[in-house]
Amino acid sequence: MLDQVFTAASLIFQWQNGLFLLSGIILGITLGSIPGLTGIMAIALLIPLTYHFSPLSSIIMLIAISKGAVYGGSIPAILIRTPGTPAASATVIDGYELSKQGKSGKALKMALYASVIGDTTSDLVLIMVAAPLSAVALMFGPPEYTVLILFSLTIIATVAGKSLIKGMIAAGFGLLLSIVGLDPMMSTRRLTFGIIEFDGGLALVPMMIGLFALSEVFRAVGEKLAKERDKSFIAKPKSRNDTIVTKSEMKRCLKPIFRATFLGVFLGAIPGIGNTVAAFAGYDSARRASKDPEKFGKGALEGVAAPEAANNAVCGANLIPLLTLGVPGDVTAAVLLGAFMIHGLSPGPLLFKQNITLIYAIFIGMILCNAVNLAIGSIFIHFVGYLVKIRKIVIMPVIIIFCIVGSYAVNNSLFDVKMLFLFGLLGYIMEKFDFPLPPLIIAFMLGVILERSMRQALIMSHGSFTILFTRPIPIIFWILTALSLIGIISKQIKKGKLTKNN
Amino acid sequence: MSSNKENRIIALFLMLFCIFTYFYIIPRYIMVWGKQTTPTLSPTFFPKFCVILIAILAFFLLIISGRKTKEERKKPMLGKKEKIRIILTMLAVFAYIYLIGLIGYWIMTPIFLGTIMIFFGVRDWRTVAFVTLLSVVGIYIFFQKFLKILLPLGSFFE
Repeated sequence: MLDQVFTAASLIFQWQNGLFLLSGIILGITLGSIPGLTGIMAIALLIPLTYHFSPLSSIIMLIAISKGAVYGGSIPAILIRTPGTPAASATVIDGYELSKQGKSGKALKMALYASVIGDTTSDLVLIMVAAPLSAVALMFGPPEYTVLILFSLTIIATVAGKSLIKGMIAAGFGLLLSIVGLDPMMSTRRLTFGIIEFDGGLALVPMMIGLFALSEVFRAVGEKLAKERDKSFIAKPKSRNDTIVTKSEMKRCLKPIFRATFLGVFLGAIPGIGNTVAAFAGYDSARRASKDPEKFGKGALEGVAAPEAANNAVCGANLIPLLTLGVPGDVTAAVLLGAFMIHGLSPGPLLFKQNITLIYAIFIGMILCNAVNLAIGSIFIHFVGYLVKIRKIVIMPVIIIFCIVGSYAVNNSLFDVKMLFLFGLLGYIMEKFDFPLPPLIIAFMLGVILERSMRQALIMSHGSFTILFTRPIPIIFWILTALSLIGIISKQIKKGKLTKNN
Repeated sequence: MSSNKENRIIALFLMLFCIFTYFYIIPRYIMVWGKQTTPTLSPTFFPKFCVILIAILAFFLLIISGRKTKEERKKPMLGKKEKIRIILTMLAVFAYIYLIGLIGYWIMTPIFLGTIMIFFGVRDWRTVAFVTLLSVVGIYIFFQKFLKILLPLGSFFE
């Protein structure tokens, strides 16, 4: 085995592979930081180019892009309240608050450190426990998925806003919006209102950009004082301390980071769950374990560290079902599966027997990606310092154009841009009446999986709902959901929030 | 923070929306072929589930908003100027989206950027010109040249 590891190391440290790794990270961070563009888009665009390269170079570049993009998504989430990728939706909650306080540098650095720690830990877990963890993932069938997603939506509804009920209503609307399109089982049209573009469902990217970015522009335009609008769009730091992560802050955030990382690894190993749910689960775990949960939502550094660690932890864990079973965990893994197959490789148990040197080289490459991510991410953060000088009234129109072009870029369709505008209006109205936005987006993303799992579970049980309450894993998640709701409701009653205005 | 009165109105509106959706929108706009022997397998099952969920939550919101409180926290209200500014910005964005399909990216984007920056209060023409030029060209190079995403030419010019 050792000689295979040394051979793998000698392969990955060739200059071509190093170059591909570096370019992948730069491309991933760049595309991830532009709302409307995602790592998946970059991977899908570059796959044809990789025909001409070696399997190792291609795969390591594509993995580097996906890792860079997940971190890159946190940059606009912190600076302009728009997650660059859906996985950064949880980072918005405290990241943007820190940015408003002039601590964008601190938030960006913490996001970077947490991402690298989460990703590296997850890669090590992948290397050590891929096989047994995939066995656990195999135990999840439709009833387990149904209850897990309902549990996830409850968590998200509770962490994302001040009002539990409004968060759950927002999640309900997200589920309703996910219905638009074709029925996943019968393929009949649902709520398309005769509009052909709705047959494929509502596009996620215009929805996300509209709800988060465009609505924020509308809100910022309404600021009463001219001097508020004339301020720099990123609040200036008040002292050097606002631009760095101190040792005590790092020490304080380490526990939440590792807790969130292991949550991310567990959730990432389950096909279909994805890094967005992991990010919110990580955020919630940090909030619950905190001695001062009230500070979450107001600029808690742990509120940036935990979701970033969790969403990056999914990167390595996602590859567990892909490499061990040939089952992609999410869209990114599915595209990577395509890359494997183009180069004549079939992920699964045989891959470990026939191409073990390549697998070891990929593992070493993944660890190296994190080191490069740290270096390149630090350079990106350095350039953010120049953005501090740009005034809000100058950057807001440019943000509008980026929102529009980013939405257009998804399907080369102006229809998506119209949807962007409608969701911008919806986001503005929702925030005016204190309905949080993240639950709507997450529920929209999970709605299709929830419906498919629920209906498959009901087919298994011939229409009886008891299947959701009689299997061991769903029972565990029901108990967790009930405990979570009881905990939150009792906290809110104690503070008198339920008897005051919500 | 929303007041109790606002929450009651929102809750009632949501409940009416749910009733309208359940009894009119779902039967009319969701196609069901043949008779469904198992209701849970019907395409209308999940939409109805969602609508009922929202209705129940709206009912809880109504109950909670009905409780008397010691004080109603006053929300900062938008002035007339601010409301007009927001509405005009929304109309400008809508106009840009509509016209970009007709006139194209190259003409509409500089007009929109320049106009909206001046409307927001940027008075230095050099800043307006520089930012407009940089944004228009930068976006073109990145999206069209690098990512190969064709920006709209406009139906008048196609």
